Amino acid sequence: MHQSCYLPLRYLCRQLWRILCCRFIVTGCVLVAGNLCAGAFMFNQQEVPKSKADLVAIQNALVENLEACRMATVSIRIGEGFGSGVIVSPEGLILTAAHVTAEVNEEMTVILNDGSEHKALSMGLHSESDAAMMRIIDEGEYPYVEINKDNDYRLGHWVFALGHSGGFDLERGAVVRLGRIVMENDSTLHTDCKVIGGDSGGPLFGMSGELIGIHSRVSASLEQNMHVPMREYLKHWDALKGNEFLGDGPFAERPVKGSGFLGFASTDTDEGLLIGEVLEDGPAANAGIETGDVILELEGEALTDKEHFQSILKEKTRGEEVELLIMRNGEQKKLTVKLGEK
Amino acid sequence: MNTDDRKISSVWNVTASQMAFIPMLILGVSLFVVSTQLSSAQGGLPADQRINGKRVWAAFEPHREILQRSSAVIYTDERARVKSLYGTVVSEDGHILTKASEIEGKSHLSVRIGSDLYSEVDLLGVDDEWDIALLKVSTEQPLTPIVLSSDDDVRQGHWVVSNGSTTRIQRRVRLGIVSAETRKISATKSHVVLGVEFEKDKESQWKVANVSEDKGAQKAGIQVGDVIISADGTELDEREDLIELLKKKQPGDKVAIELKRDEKKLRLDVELSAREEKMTRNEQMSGGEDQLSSRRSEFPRVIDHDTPLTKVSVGGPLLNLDGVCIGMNIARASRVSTFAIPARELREIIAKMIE
Repeated sequence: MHQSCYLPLRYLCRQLWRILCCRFIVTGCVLVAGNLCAGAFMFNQQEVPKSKADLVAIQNALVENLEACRMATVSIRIGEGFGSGVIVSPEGLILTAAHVTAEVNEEMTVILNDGSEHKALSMGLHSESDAAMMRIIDEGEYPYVEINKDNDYRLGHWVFALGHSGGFDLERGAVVRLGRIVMENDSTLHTDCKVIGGDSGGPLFGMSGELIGIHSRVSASLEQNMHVPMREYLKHWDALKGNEFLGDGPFAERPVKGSGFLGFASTDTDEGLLIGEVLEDGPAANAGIETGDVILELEGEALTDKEHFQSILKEKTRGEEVELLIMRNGEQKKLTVKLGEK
Repeated sequence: MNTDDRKISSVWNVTASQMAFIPMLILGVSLFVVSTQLSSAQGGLPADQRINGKRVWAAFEPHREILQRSSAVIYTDERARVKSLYGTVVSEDGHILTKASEIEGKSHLSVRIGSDLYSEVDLLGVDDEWDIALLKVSTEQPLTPIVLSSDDDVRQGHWVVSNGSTTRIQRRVRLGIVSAETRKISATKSHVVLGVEFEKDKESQWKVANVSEDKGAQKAGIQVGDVIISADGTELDEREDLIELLKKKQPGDKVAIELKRDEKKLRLDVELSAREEKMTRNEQMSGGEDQLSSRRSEFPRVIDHDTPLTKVSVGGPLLNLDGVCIGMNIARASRVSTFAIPARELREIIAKMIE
């Protein structure tokens, strides 16, 4: 994918950075958060578990943290499709995958482990690494997990994956899988935690229950499950929070100019654009536009003819909002329409 | 990067030489195929240290020894060469449970326990509800049955150990954890179809969203937008209601569909046709239908675990870290999931079938 383009200089810088990070983390662990340091587990320092006691230690760490991690794992419903996500703040900030949200500022539904549904809005995304953010709109205090900000997860560390595989199932709940980090590069963590459709955007945890990655994709091999590491989110945190669409794919397609769609037929008249048939459930219909309305202005510009209208619309993209001034029964009215996709 | 169908279909035809560029599937609402350079060049975790690597198995040697004594290898070929399935030894005098649908109609059954081969095998009975067959071998030496757990509490996140691969002499383990709530698995689809796709509209009515070409529904005159009220007099509230009804039908049977079109009620007789299996995306990600048990739904209650079994490695016991049998593997369900019958139900099944 991206691996072919590393420059030696960049590689060296990264190694140096890692060494510095390690130093910092070692100090950090001792001083602040011993229990959040992945390296603190004996089993993460062993090549393989040697005894039943080692296996019990892995099992205990998992069981101890599972419930809290499960509570913060959500299912995301977009139309007929399902993905997963994880809540990272009490207000309901969610991390997920870019190919799940696909768009910035779109409304979607989040389903918590107890089956309760909440309206949510997609925020920024990074279309090259598959990182994305969203937030629950409903005010409340939500169960959440801590992000591993130390970047101290390493090859061979034990990890567990959660997600609503194949969509939400109240009786089943979020599904947990155990594995190890089997490969690592800049923008991707590989594990042998098996994930499948519907898990996309779901969380990968270190054994102390700290969030280290988000599920992205798999290969045919059961041992190749790929996750976006937390550092990709932290690197772009402000832009993601600021609803920015970053990068040029392949995990989400940047809306192009002219892709916006209103959903009505119209004809030129002396007063303005006379609306004919309005597409049922289309963007215009949803904004309250009716057959017989006459459009006077688009984005504050008085319209000369249909061509003028289309030339303004051509500069807009799907998902963008446009303002219309219409005439209905002799009265002027302002309406905002969120453009759909052509 | 590419998203076209040609590449997607090539996913399942990778040969060893192409393995360096394995197509990837994205997991969410959309399906992508990407290529990425993999593996040894970048120094991944050695295969024997991965969760189902040889060196990790070594810590489970006591469990392997239990499987060596108390699991059975089941063959259905005349020469007992190719393992078809595993079984679970449940009595000293030779009773073995296995998955019924995988041995159905096989004329040659033989069984290996430890390194002993038994070529006289009686099929004593089948429990359709659980898809279990009871086999019996004659043995002079008492066998070592599994120790069934009396604790009904199977905790999520706990290690579980199953039969992995095997040689003629030696069983091997395969590892996983309990991954979800123990629960009922309902039917997911029927074998016959009407030839329509439904969607639930805003008033929670089943509205026809699509009518397939040349299927019963189209021939009977069902149209997009029709609202289905009942089938054979049964009102349809949930999708399962229709599946339950269709499960009892054969291709060619007719179903009386009552529907609403433009506020008028209509009754149409729709002839059912056989479902043409189109692999779902998650079946595709699971390695295709071949990798999964044919019967993998409709179980009253199962333990759900993440052990990567295949459809020919179910039938054996499911052990916990203490080596106690907490269930019997009954179906490979998907890339992420294997089902096992819990010990509580297994005890009842054994009592009922052996009496």
